[in-house]
This record gives sequence, structure tokens and C-alpha cells, in this order.
Amino acid sequence: MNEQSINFIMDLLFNPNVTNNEFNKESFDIVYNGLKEEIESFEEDPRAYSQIRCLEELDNSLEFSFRQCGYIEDLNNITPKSLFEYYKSVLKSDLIDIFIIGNIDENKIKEIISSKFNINTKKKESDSHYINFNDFRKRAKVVKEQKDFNQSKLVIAAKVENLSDFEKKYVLRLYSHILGGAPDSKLFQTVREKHSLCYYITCTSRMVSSLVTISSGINKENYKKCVTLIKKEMKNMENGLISEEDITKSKIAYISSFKELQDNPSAIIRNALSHEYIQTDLIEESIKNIELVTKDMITNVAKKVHLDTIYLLEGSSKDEKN
Amino acid sequence: MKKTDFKNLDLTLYEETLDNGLRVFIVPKNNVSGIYATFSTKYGSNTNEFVPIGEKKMIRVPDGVAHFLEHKVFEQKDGTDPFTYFGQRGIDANANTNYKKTTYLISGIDNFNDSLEYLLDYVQEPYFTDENVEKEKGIIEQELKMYQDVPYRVLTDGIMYNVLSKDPSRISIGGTVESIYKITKEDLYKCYNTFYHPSNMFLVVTGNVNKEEIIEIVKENQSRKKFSKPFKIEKKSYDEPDKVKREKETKEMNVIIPKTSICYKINVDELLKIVDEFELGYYVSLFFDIKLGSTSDFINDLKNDGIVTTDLSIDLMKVDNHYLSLICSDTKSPTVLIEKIENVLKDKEINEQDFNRKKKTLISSCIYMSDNIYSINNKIMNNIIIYDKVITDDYEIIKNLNYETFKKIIDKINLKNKSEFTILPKKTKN
Repeated sequence: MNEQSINFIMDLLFNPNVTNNEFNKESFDIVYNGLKEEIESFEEDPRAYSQIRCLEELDNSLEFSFRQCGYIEDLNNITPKSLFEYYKSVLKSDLIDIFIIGNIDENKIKEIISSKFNINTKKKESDSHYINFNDFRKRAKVVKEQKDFNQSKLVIAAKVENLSDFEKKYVLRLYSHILGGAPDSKLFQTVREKHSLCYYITCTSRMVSSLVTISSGINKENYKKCVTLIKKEMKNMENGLISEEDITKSKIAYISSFKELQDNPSAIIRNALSHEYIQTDLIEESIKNIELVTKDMITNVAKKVHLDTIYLLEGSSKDEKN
Repeated sequence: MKKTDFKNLDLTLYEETLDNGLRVFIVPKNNVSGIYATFSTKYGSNTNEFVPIGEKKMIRVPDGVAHFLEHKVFEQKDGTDPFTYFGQRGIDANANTNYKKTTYLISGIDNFNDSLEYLLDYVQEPYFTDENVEKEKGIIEQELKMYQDVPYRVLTDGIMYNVLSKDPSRISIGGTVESIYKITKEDLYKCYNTFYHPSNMFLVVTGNVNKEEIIEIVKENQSRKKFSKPFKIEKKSYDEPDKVKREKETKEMNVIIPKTSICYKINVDELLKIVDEFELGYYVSLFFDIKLGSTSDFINDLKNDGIVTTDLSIDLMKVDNHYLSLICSDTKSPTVLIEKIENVLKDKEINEQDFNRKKKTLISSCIYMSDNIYSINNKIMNNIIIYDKVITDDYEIIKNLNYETFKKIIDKINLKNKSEFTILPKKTKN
């Protein structure tokens, strides 16, 4: 990292290929075509597709259900001219932070950046991104959709009720880890190892969206059996059927994943970034806090996890005969 | 321990072969906190005909047995689950199988020494029963079905099957749902006892370790276990012809954008008369990269013409005495894309500037490699599998690549043996 490479990036940012207030048509088209293909082919990936379909069914007005690749209707409205307008508004009014890590002279790099990066939106306040739910289904909504795949995908989403900051950052994470975060988790051991029903089954918690999702690839005939087993494991978490060993293991996993971040410069930046935008704690504090989580806290959080949507993408291909 | 410095990189390799034949490689790296250990057997999906240890006749095992075995090695007689053991210690564990090897791996920071010993123990003492073998079939069936829905897996499996005609690398690593249901406990023990002998295995440890401590742990652990004498494994050899098995195939699948691939099968015998094998790989990959890679005029034109929207995926692998150069892409015009690739490769003219520019990127990736304990470990494993020794002078090899030799090699590369495989969207019925 030296002045020359910073200059190069600044040149990319501040001197785009623009004439008459429009982005160059050729390079615009390359990006446009790429995005268009990405949107069109989104449905080719059954795992990503089923995840987002489940969240759309849960609540399609909330941001987490939006497709990251975007939508064709929106893309069609973008022109080289409107994109340049947007570019100007980003530089004028968007929140901008710059993170730098590595073998650098702090003062010198600050000086270089402030002299080249001449805009005024640094250190602007960011909005809160957190979503909170206050209505929950009594019975889960069940949605089934058919597509021409070999494997069926099961996705279960649950809304989490009104957690404290500490619960969101630490307890929820341990909850999902114990339930389905690793090969020694409850779901993996039951659904895969004991009943041979799947190859993968994972549980993920999303702190910002107050969601817990579970996903797996199964044979459609085993749908009911899988759902029953998953519900039972969730119920066990509520009833406190969690061993001290489960808790210790999850804490250790959490702590070592944080320690490992320290070997990876871009992971350190990501950590600082979420500290800045969604107020997560930095590495050392996180390691200290996770130790404070108790079994009761996890059981309490488990009681606030409300099953909402069960989505099955039913595969309809006949078995391949090779 | 034998000590070798990686030339021009701030790294040292320590190597020792134990009495039971196990080879141990250690690369300490003390400016990071993580440690990564891999325990591999030189046995993957491309070995399915061999003479089992203690027997005289060649046998044929079902496709996918190496991968099935990888799953079952985690099964222990006392019922311990290795994942739980590692989980308790904050260590990540996993395993993978490819055409030529099977690897069991752990990574982490704390409690590493115990975990390293347990890695050796669980891999060296698995326990197969009819029941636990049967149980795994449902799990692997789901794994294979998952892959059948990934278009790029279907594309690469399809083209490998057509490019090769004898070598078992033509068969998908996991086998088929049909073949794995035929696998028995006896198959697993035969393969295990033959290929998991320490003399067919190697251990690579990279990261923040003390080399003396590691070698002591491993030696002490191995000395407590009994193994038969190292032996030579007899495997069927395949005289893989230069010609591809099938030149063209199209398959319909549930996709929206078509996907196409072309694979060149290049015999290396003549090329190895010009340079040695360590250099040859660099020269051949430079050729495809300069012609078709992300900074070529070619890819720029393709994007401008709307034929592709992203870079091509370009891979080079070695099967016996052939290089397979595999090029894949999403494209709305598969026929045009293949035609254009063929045309641009026919013109073997490459200017010296491009050659030198790409040489620089090879040097920078060599240095990047030296900074990452996973990349260093992978490099050592790949070297052992392909060359049976670790190359420690990559930096110099790359520095010494020269334009005149490059031209000579490119001139001799035969691009006539090739195969195409295309996936098209299913036609809607009615």
C-alpha cells in the first residue's frame, strides 16, 4: 500500500468514464448485462432461491426478503444518465467511512487520504438497521412450491421476540450454534446422523433482522418427518434440554472464531465495520461477554423464538440413472 | 528433520519420514496465531481397481468408495464423535476427497497439540459395521443429489466423462446414487487397510507451531501403534489415449442461462523434452491465461459483444501424461463462444509484454501464498500428490520462465484433442 496505489483507487472513484453527464455506454452495457444475467439465473440455485422464498413468504415488505441481485423492473429503469446522477448523490450525501489496515504509517496515510478524498460526508451518523417484530403466528404458515430439481429444500424461518442488546449479540448466537451451527449440534446429530435424512442442515441467527432460519436438503417424502424432528429439537431448547457441555463447546467455538479473525486483515475490517454500523462489540469485548451467557439466558431466548414459515421447494426430477 | 528454505520467501520447510513410512512436513509461521494440519492419504476417487493388502488378485470396487470411506473414517468404536471432540476444544475439523487424495483436516488456535494427536488417532482407528455403513447411504444420497442440482458440477462432471476414456477420473468423485448403495463394510475395510497405511499417507502442519514439539508428538503417537511393514500398492494402470472419448454433448437441465465448456486434452511427452514438469505447468497455464484470461483483449471483446457477462473460468489439471485445460462459462450464445475460443487459440502469437506482465502476477501470487497457512499447506499437499516432493524454489522457477522457451512450447502444444459440453435450458413441454 503506497501513495501510488491509493492514487489509482482515487482515480477510479473520482474520474469515472463519463461524457456529457452520462456513463460510457459500452462499460455501462457490460455491467448492465452482467446484472441482468445474475437476476435471471437467480432461480438456478435452489438453496439461495428457497432461502429467499421462505423470507418473502414470512414478510415480503421487509428488507431481508429483498433479493440481493435486485429485480429486473428496477434494472430496466437505470440509464447511463440516471446512474451518473446517482453516483453524484452518493458522493454528496451518502455515509462514507474509510478503513485501512496493514503495515502503514498512520499519520502519513491519514494525510494522503484527507488530501485526496475531498468530500464532506465522512463521519455522518448512520440510521439504525434493526428490525423488531411484535406480532407472531399461532400456527406456522406452510408454503410448498414445485420445481424441476433432484433434491427438495426445506427452509424454516422463525421470528424472534423483543430481545435485549446483549441477547441479540450473544445469547441468540449461542442458541443457533447449539441448535444447528456445527456438526456436533442438535439438528445435525438428530436429522443427519441418527435418521440419515440429509447431508446438510444448518441453523443461522440474524441479529439485525431478529430471525432464526433452518435449512436442509431432503427427499420430499421425508418432509413431515424432518419438520417433526426439527420442531422437537426447538422445543427441547425451550425446555432447557441443553447440557453444560453444549454451552461450553459453543462458547469455545465462538471465542476461537473471534481469535482467528485476528489473523485475517479483511476480517478485522469487517468486524470494525459492523461495530460502526450495527454496534456490535469489538473482538476483545466480545470474547469477554460471551463468557457471561448462562443456560437460563439461552432457554429464555428459546422461548422467544416463534416459528413463522415452513417452506418446501419440492424437487420433481426423477432420479438420475447414470 | 531435514530443513529446506523456500527460496526468496520468508519460510522454512522441515521434513521427516518416520519408521512406519509416514511423511511429516512442518512449516512454522510465527507471525500468525492459527495452526492448520492436514492428514492425507494418496488415495482418491480415481483408484477403483487394485490388489488389496494380503491378497493376490486385482479387484474392482464400486464408484465413490473413497468418498464413502472419508465419511466413515469418523466412526469410532467407543462411539466418540470426532466433531464433538474437536468442538470441545474450539478446533474446526473437516475432510474432503478429490480424484487423487483424501484429506482430514483441523485448524484452530488453542488446544492444538491434543487435537493433532486425536486427528492421527481417529483416522488410524475407524470402526465400520454393517449398520453404520447402511446409515451413511441416505446421507451420501442427499449429498450427491445436492450436486446434481448445481449446474457447474453437472458441466464439469459431464466434460470429464467425455474427455477421458479409461482413467477413472472420468467418473464423478462421489460416484452415483446407484453405485454407493452397493458399497459394503468389506469394501471399506479393503480400501482402508490398503491405502491408509502410514507409508501411503502424509501429515502437513503449517502455522504458529514449535517444530520440535510437533514432531515429538507425532513420533510418540505413531510409535505406540502397530502397523505392517510398508508395502508397494499395486493399482491398475490406464494407458489413457490422447483422443477424447466423445467430442460433443448437450444436455438439458433446469437452468435459465445456458452453460458451456470446452476441454483440451494435451499430451505432455513432447513438451517435457523442452522443460521439466515444474516449469511446464506454469508455461501452459500462462498460455491460456494470456489468451482468454480476465485481462485479455479477447474477454473484453466478448463482454462488449454481449456473449459473456463475466470472466471465463479457466482450469488446468493433470491426469497421467495429459494436461486438461478446462474452460467454462455462462453464455446465451454457446456455439459462438466455443467457435471464438477455438479461433483465438489457433493464433499462437503472444507478445513479450503480455508474457512479462503475467509473469509478475505469478510472482505476486507466490508471495501471497507464503503469507497464508492454508495456501502453504495446500501447496505442499498438491506438490506431494503431483511430484511426490515439495518444490521450494517456485519463486526462482517463475523468475526464470523465459519468452523464447514459452514460444517453443506453445508452438508444440497440440489443441486438436478436445471436447465440448453444453447445458441448455429445458424446452417447455406442450
